[in-house]
Amino acid sequence: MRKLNLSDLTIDQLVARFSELGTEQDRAERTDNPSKYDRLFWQMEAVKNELKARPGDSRSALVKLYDHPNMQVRLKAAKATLAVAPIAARAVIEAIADSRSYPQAGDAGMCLANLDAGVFKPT
Amino acid sequence: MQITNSAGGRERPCTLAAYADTVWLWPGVPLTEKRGRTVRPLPSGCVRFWIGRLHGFEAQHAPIESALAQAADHLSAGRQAEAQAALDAAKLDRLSPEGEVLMRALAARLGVAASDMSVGTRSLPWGVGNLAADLRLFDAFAGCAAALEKIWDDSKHPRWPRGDPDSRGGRFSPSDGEVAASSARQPPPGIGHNGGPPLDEPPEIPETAPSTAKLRNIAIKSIARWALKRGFEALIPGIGEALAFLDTARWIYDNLPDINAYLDKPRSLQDLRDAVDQPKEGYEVHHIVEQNPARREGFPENQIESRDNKVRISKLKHWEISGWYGTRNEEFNGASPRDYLRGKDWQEKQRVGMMALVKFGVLRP
Repeated sequence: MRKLNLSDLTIDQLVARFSELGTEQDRAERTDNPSKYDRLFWQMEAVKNELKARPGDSRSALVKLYDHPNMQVRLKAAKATLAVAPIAARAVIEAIADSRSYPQAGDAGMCLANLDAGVFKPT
Repeated sequence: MQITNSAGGRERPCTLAAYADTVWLWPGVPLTEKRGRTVRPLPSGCVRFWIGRLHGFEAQHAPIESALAQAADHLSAGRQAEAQAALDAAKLDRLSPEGEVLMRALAARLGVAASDMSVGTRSLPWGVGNLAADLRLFDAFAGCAAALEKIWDDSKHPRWPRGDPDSRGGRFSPSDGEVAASSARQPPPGIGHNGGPPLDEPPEIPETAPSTAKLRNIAIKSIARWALKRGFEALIPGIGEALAFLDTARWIYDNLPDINAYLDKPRSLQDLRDAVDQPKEGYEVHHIVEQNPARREGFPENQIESRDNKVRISKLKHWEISGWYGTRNEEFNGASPRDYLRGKDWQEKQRVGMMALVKFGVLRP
């Protein structure tokens, strides 16, 4: 299989890719596959960095995933956009933290705590 | 509180009653279900679970399944007296010490009479924490308990006089039958019915137990998460949506303690620490500062294993928190929380550990 070259993808394709990877990551968590979860983490980071590198920083394109039906995708999109849409992204993370849908609710809560404690400084 | 042993014509206290096409456990837990004209026992794990609340592990050798199966057959054929006789033959005639405490507490909570059944003599193996949890389990049956109180109390239900030509052996007189029969058909709303609009669909669960522990755990985890999201406090065998799961996938009964522990509300730090001394199915001891990394970094054993560093939490929550510690995270520049904490002082490890307990819904903020 040919390796996907992210620089060849449009913004919309990158957003779609991010969404697919987030859904896969959710499945990896549900099926107790942490090594796959971590692999997908780096793939999502690569997509995020590709968007960031586009002219004008295109990470804000991920905002459209705030309404995605998969909570893991929503959480990842919100974390990825904290630097470019801090208020909206935080609202999404807060909603997930309050959702009682674990583990995303726990992850979101820890994200907020680390933001408030200055451990997490989105750039 | 006594119920007539209709087979022998004598009276002695018991906790099982055949009534209104159902076998009941005091104070109102149905142990059978009726499908069409057929009465059949609930799965063995469910039955043992409830009977164990009152009769303890001593009841594990009682021939409960066969007695219940016979009683169900008799009820299917309309023979209530014979059904009661079959139940009496199971000889569940002693409460466990903790069962008696539970019964008295339940009687006060639900406003029904307690039994004068004899009690086993061993000492209590568990403390008040378990009692509180068990009490909540029975709340779902408060409606049935109220409707059925008369069947446990001879002073409140008129029986056919012995030798009455119209007598229908073992049945109560006509005036009081319909209330409980109605309750039997329609279990009362309780845990499992949140009264709200439909939310997520229940997860798909295999009918037979998955072949590996990992696959079983994945299925159990999905049920627990779904139930928590729905706002359930416990999955009660025989009640509400628990029935949908448990009727098709009876293997889940063995894992109910895991699921119900996951549904615990957040508790105080003191409660979680105190519970460490009381091992309980569905729970594990969790180290607030992770023990293995702390040991590798040379923290003293008495600090790692101190009471301050240990809490008893839901096993499934324990796994979730450990999973969070072990996977990559944006907040730590792509390191896992465990990697981030490597080399940090005890206070920082403890801060993160405490925060994780709060954010994963174990510790009350």
